[in-house]
Amino acid sequence: MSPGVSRCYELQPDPYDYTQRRAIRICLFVDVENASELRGKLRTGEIDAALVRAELIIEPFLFLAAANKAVYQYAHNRMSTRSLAAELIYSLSPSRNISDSLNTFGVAENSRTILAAVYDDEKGSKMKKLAKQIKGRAVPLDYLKEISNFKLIRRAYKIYDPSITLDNIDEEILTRMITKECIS
Amino acid sequence: MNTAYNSLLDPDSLRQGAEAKLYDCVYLGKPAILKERFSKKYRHEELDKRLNFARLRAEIRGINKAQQVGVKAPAIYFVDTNRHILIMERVEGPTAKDWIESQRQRAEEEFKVQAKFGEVLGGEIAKIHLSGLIHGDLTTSNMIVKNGDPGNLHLIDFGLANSGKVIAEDKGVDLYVLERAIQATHINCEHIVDAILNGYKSVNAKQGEAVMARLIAIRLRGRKRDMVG
Ligand SMILES: Nc1ncnc2c1ncn2[C@@H]1O[C@H](COP(=O)(O)OP(=O)(O)OP(=O)(O)O)[C@@H](O)[C@H]1O
Ligand SMILES: [Mg+2]
Repeated sequence: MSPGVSRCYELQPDPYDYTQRRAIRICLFVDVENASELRGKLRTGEIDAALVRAELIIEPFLFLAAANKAVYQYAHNRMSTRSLAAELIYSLSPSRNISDSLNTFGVAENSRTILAAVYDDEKGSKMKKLAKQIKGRAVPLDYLKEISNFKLIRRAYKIYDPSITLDNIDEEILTRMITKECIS
Repeated sequence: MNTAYNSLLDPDSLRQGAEAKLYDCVYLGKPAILKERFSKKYRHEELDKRLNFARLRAEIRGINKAQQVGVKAPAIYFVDTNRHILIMERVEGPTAKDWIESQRQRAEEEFKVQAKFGEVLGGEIAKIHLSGLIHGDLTTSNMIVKNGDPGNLHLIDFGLANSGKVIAEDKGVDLYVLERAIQATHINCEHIVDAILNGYKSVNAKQGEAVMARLIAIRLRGRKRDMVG
C-alpha cells in the first residue's frame, strides 16, 4: 500500500470540548479477493477494524458522522455493540436492529470493495498492518464516487420518494442514521 | 493528520432565541449550526428537562418526516439528548423574512419573484401536511431561501411540529399562523399569501379544498376575536 492513499481525520466526540481528541483513518480497497477470510478474522478478533461495504457509502462525510457518533456513544457508555468498530457499522444503519445492521453494512462474503477504518491511527501503522491482510488494491478515497451504488443505497435506507435524487439523498441519509434512536 | 480543526464553536456567532442558543460551528469539516435548548431557571427542573427534550424530539421527527417526502430541511449531523443539543447542516442564504424585504428594491421583478416564492412555499407546506406533519411555527424567520434562490427553500425550526393524528383544522391553523405572521412582518404582501394558497392547492386538490374551508372559518373566528378583544 502506498502511503498517502489512506486518510486520517480528526473526530469531535464532544462539541463543547475540542481538547477531547480522537481520530479515524480510512482507506478504500477495490478488487478484494478474500472477503470471506477477512470476515473470519473479524470474528476471531484477529482483525480489529471496521470493514464496511463501500458500495453503500454515498460520501465520506456521512461515514465520519457515523464514526463520530460511535466515539460519542463510547465516551458516554452508551454503545449498543461490543466494540467501537462494530458501533461504527451499526451507526451507519437506519435500523435499530443490531444484527441486521451489521449484516447489511459490514463486509459480505462476496464483497469486492471495502471501506476500512481504524480509530486513533495517526501514524498509519495500524492501517499498514491491516492492508497486508487484505488481498486487494488500496485506492484514493475520491474513487468512492465510482463505487457507491445509488440503487442499493436507496434500498438499504428505504428511501423511495421520487423527489429524492443523488443531489439530496445524503441529507436524508445523515438525518436517518444519526437520529434513529429518537424517531420510532 | 490529513484534516484537523481548531475549535468547533464560533463564540461570536451566538444567537439567543426564545428557547435556544444557536452558534455557527464547523462539524467534521462542514459548516454547521449548533442549537442548544437551554434550561429556564423559573421552570421546575423536571418539567424543564421534559419540555426541552420534547421540543428536541419534535424537531428531529419533523425534519425526518419533511425530508422523507422531499421537503428540504437541514440534515442532522449530531444529537445529544442529555444536553438537548442538535448540530445540523448550515443552510446558506437569507431567512425568507430578510429575502422578502431585500426584494423590495427590484420594483418590477419583485412581484413575479415573490409570487414564485409563495407558490414554492405553499407547495412545500402542502407536501408535509399530506404526510401528516404540522410545522407548528410557520413564520418567515423559520425558513431559509438557500443561496437566495426561491426555488430552493428550506424549512427550519420544527420544535413545535407534531405528526400524530392530524386533521384539516390543524392544517388550517398552520396556514393561518403563517398568514398572520406575514401580515404582521411584511407590508403589501397579499400577493405572497395568495401565491402560497395557490401553491398549496396545486399539490392535492382534495386536501386543498378541505383546508381552505377550515382556513376561512378560522379567519372568521379570528376576526370576531379581534372585534371583541
Ligand atoms: N440550519 C440552519 N442553517 C442556517 N441558519 C439557521 C439554521 N437554523 C437556524 N438558523 C438561523 O437561526 C435562527 C434561529 O433558529 P431557530 O428558528 O431554529 O431557533 P429559535 O427560533 O430560537 O428556536 P425556538 O423557536 O425553538 O425558540 C433562524 O431564524 C435562522 O436565521
Ligand atoms: Mg425560529
